[in-house]
Amino acid sequence: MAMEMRLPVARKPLSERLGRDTKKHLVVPGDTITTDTGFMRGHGTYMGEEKLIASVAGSVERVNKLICVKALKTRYIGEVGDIVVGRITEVQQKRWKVETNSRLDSVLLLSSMNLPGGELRRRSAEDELAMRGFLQEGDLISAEVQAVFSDGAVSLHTRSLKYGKDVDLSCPARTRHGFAPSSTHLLTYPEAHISQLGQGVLVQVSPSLVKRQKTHFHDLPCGASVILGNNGFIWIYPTPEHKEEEAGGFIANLEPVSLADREVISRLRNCIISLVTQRMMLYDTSILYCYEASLPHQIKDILKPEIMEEIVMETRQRLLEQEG
Amino acid sequence: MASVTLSEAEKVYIVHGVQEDLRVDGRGCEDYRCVEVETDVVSNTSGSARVKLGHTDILVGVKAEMGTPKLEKPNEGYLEFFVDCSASATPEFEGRGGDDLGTEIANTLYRIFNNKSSVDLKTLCISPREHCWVLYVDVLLLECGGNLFDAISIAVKAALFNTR
Repeated sequence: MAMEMRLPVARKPLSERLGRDTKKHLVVPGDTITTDTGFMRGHGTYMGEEKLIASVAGSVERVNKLICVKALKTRYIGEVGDIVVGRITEVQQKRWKVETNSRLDSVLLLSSMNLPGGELRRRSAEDELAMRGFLQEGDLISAEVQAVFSDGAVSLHTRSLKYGKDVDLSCPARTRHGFAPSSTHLLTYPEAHISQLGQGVLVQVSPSLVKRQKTHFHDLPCGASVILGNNGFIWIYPTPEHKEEEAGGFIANLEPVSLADREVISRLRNCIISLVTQRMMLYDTSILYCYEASLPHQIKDILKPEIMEEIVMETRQRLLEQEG
Repeated sequence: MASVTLSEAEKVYIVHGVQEDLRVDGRGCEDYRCVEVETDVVSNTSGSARVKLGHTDILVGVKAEMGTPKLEKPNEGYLEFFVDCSASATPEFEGRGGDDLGTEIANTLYRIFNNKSSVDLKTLCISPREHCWVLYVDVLLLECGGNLFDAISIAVKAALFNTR
């Protein structure tokens, strides 16, 4: 039972390790970004006294004539269409309250949920009473943001992708609540989507580190699958052998997961944590490269600071080679 | 660490993993997390140490004062422990919630440091039956992230080592 001790002086600050040549333009709230009035102001800025002033602490990004400040540390801000992973905190009358690392709890309406018996079933009083049977406090779900209320609270819905069409158009309850149908064209998704999550591991990271991509559900070739929630909740789970959707996936599979799968999942978890401590963006390629770079080490060694640095350095190299 | 509710499936996954000696982060059941030890952190004490074990953060300060030896041990000095579980460590410690845990840890520390191999109390004696050194050890829990006993005992040992 060996223990390893380290001294804090041995801990190197992040900027030294990165050795960046390009300096980012960092601002704090109240800093003047520019006095040039020709720019359009984006998120994180406001106009005051003929100057563009930052309202959040972060780095300035400029796209042609648009200036915005991207905050370094922020809670999740919902956008329609984002995939999020959330935890049920409360069961209320016709909805569930979901914790998604945002400023307000998100809501999942009973009418936005896939229920057994078909898509177009009217939600009856029995359904309300049986709500706890579907989702309890503590359950994890993956859902899509359907709408954002004016106070910033996010409304979720769980999609059914089996038929490859947008559920919004067919469900009458949606228009009853006053939500406009999100789109008129068919959206096709190649893989099946589970709403209630079974066995696996949740990793919580900052939402700003999850890269926006076309799809957030990845089946990695190493043997596990990962859901990269835009809110920073990352769910790693063993790849299901057969992809089928039984009644919205409410019955979780509680059989023991094999040791090989467990090791892959633990390794992925440690890789994600090392990428996060080095402030690298998370997407399927970076996670996969990090996983492959970590294979020579033991899983528990990845958590050591020196090995973490080494692995992320290698990952960064590979990503640069791939781009260049 | 504030408690987090987990889904049934997550709990089952963790329990099955532990049965196979594999925790969620890849460690075995008996493996420790990374430990960071720093001594001489508090300037107005005789000795101090700070230990970080994962999310657990412990600060120990030792103050040496003159006192009279205990009647049953006239040739030795003694140690006095006080453990403060601050409310900022975890929400459960709000108000008087941390007192029970504090006294339990203090009692354990008395038992641990009562034998000769950990601290030689005879060196603390100045003149038998009259004067001796009393070491007041104050333990402050800055953040509670599990495995308090191990982290506190390492911190106390480091602080005593640092005491001049």
